[in-house]
Amino acid sequence: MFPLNYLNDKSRRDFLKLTSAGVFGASLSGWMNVLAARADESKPTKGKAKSCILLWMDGGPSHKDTFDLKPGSKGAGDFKPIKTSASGIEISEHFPKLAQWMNKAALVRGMSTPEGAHPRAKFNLHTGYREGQGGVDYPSIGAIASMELAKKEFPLPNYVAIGGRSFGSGFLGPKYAPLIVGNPDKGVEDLKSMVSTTQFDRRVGLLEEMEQSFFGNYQADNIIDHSVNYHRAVEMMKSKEAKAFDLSKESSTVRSAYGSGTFNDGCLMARRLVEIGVPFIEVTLGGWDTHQDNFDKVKNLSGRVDQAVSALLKDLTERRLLDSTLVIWMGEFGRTPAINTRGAKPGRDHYPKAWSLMMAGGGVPGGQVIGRTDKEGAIVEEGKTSAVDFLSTVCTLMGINYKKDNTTPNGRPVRVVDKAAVPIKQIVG
Amino acid sequence: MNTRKILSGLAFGLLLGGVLWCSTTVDAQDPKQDKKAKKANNKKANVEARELTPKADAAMITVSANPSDVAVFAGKIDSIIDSKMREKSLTASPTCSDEDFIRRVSLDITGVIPTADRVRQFVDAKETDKRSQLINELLESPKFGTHQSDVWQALLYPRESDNRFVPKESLVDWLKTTFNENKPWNKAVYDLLTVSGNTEEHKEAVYFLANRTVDKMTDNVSKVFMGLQIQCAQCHDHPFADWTQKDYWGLAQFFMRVQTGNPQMAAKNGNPVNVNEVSVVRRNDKVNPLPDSAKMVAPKFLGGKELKISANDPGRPYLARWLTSPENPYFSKAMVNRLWLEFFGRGIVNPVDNLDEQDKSTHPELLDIVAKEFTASGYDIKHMVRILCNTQAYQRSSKPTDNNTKDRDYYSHRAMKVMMPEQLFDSLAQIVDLKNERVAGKGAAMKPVNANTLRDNYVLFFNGSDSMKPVDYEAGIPQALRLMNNNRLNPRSVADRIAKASSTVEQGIEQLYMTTYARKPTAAEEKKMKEFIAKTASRTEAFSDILWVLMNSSEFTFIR
Repeated sequence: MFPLNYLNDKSRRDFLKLTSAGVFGASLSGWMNVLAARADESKPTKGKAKSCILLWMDGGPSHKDTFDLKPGSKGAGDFKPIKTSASGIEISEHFPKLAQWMNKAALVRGMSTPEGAHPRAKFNLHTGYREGQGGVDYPSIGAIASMELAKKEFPLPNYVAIGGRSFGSGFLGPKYAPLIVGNPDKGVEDLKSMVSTTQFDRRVGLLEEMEQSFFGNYQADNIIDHSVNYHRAVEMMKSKEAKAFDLSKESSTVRSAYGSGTFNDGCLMARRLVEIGVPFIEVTLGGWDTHQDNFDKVKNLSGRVDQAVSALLKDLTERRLLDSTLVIWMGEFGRTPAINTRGAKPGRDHYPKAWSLMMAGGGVPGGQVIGRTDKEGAIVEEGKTSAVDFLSTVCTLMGINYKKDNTTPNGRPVRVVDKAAVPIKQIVG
Repeated sequence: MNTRKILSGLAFGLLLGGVLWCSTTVDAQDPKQDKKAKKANNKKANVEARELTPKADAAMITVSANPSDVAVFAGKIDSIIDSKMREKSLTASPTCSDEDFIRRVSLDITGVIPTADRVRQFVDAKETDKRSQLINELLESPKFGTHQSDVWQALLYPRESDNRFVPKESLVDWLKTTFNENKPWNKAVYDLLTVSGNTEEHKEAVYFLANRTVDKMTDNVSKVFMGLQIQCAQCHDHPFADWTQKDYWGLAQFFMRVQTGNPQMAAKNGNPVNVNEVSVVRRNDKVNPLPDSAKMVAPKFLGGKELKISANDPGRPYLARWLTSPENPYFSKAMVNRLWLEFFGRGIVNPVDNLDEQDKSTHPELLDIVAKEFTASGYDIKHMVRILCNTQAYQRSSKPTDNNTKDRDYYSHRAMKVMMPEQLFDSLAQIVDLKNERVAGKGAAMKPVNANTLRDNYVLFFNGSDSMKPVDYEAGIPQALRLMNNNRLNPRSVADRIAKASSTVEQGIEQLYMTTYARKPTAAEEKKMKEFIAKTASRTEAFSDILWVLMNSSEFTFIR
């Protein structure tokens, strides 16, 4: 979405001259070029990743049972480590396919964050701020990417959340909030008109006339904002790009390669969205809050991740998109190094002090581990990474200036990522 | 009450120099030690904590009501605005039509568009004071309280995950009653800030549950009731204003001894939650922890004097008395500036919680006199709304003249406001007979806060940030898609009904316009619609097309 709100009065008048054929007409393109030229002036050139796929493991996956196994430790658990395509890097035996991709991935094993309750931790990892801090409603990384990387004449929202709500755009406003796809197999809610195309077009034609005459009478800037938004929504409904939401266009071979389920379908949809240039997609896989029955659950979830994510990485590679697509696998925290004593099938509890995440593609140098935990996986001994360190890394990879100030509606400057942030050197170089 | 306990509490306070709040220091350097100290503190508190009764010298100061005549005072406001316009060589737009007026004032006071019948009745009425009468009538509608509760719950109840178990409905009920009964604002705020007891008997106690940590409470009270943003001073002296950390934590002390129950446990067991002020600082790590930045200093009124309060004396009544005192200029200003924002689309001072910078605003003297009137009226909110809506400035057309198109600041023409999500939902619901049913949540991931009804969900989906300006159009593509394509908003059956009830095409078109825009179509519009209908095979289909267009147009969503 382009930032019409930020245009001054004169620009708005120019806009109207340029769109004399109507806000729903094709003449927007002339103006879009002006906007694009302006946007390019401020856009940093560094950063390889044009898109980011955030694979969100909702509930907090156990690091000791996924990417930071500790055989021989007290709470080692049942799983065995296996060798991967990156020499010296071992991961869980339940990621056999993903293991082949470790030479393309970086494991961050030194994550250490302050929040141990689900919603607050999710907020912290999505925004880099603590919920409620300073009375500001902070935007998520997806909303920031949506604002910073918005493309001219792009008919789709720049931020799509699949299978979960993700986090909103905070003070940046609903323009940058994610388009939510609840069930990827069913596509986007409300994308299809209630009436036939002929009837819909008739309606939109009349709406256009009404908008013009209302603006003619009242001249208020917000009327343009409204009209442009409707224009873009209609354009999206009619665009070929919106077909990216239609998984039935994929062959059954491709669909079965990803496996079945909302998350697996979501990964496939994410690939389709990256192909048409959506900058930020979040796909959620829930169920990682394994206080009980940790090992059966994690084994099962790992299987789904293994199939879908390896298929995704393969697809992106074959389409030469992996270099420009940052893929992140993470949750809101790790889980306790010790196994609890709840019931017959014990589990692990919340643990934000030391945990792991995985990054691949988007210019991330693969085959490396960053950070090290102690032999129990309880303390980060080397390469501690905070939420803001991580988010500044993501921004740098995507060419977003994380030191920039955004301004809240009441005029307060708020940095994209808070001051203490240091991007991970081994990743951004 | 056990005397030994009281004495030990007293002794505890005396031991520490009579200022209870020196009893603990929080050191953020070492979290381990911090935790230990907190634990010890909590343990001590379990023995000594008890409820407190406020002292007589902390009671609310009652103000006798001496309101000005509404028309006279509205005239005063207009003369200030008019002279400023003359200074800027701006000409005012003419007075708006009756149709514009009834739609505008209905949305502003009751939060919903008027029905077609009500519009006709109003336009046809011959009384010269019919606008004033309408304002009075709308203020007596229970929807006034509903609309104000929509405005105020966003301010008092932060949409945060911490609040997902906090019963918002209770606070909403309290707000509705407060505004509908027109409780004097000083009394309402005094009650709100000093509340003790459970949320069933004292619904306003939810305010403390929704702002469970002292810093949230301090930020909220200063922002909402004094129009001041002091939150930056929590961690460092305020970069833009004069507030220091000492000011901040001095104010925060008044909330240090407030204890709240655990909303999650209460929700689980179906119990009400308790809010009390007790004799010692006791903070539960899980429910309402002390922030790392907390500093223990003497309690101090913002920009005022330090206090010594003993352990058996609750602190909040002193704060509430000082805050709602007629001597406190910020209290009245903060409220009237918010009301001004609601009715004029911008505050006199902007942002509204920036009263520090009143002198930089366009009409600083206007805020002074309106605030004074609010105090003199005995903090009578309906009186103030009556005054604002009776001004010429409020009743001007939003159509600009050649001379004033660019003006956004001097009220030469009415600002084009955008409906709040609640106003939009209620207005759409009125048109298509949408019921506000309860909606099951789709699991925690889909439901970050209390959103149990269709209306709640809709509001959440459409909501911007709490501090959005009423003139900002903030919806994005997903919101437009829902309005255009969601089957719940299908206009077909209503359009059918209107088509069947109208004996002529003209009558039908007029009814469609009245139902949505609260006005008759212009001659040109009628002609256009007739052509549109003539081109369409089925009349009912054409009617549903037109209704769809009207509901999705700017003119519907905007408050002209």
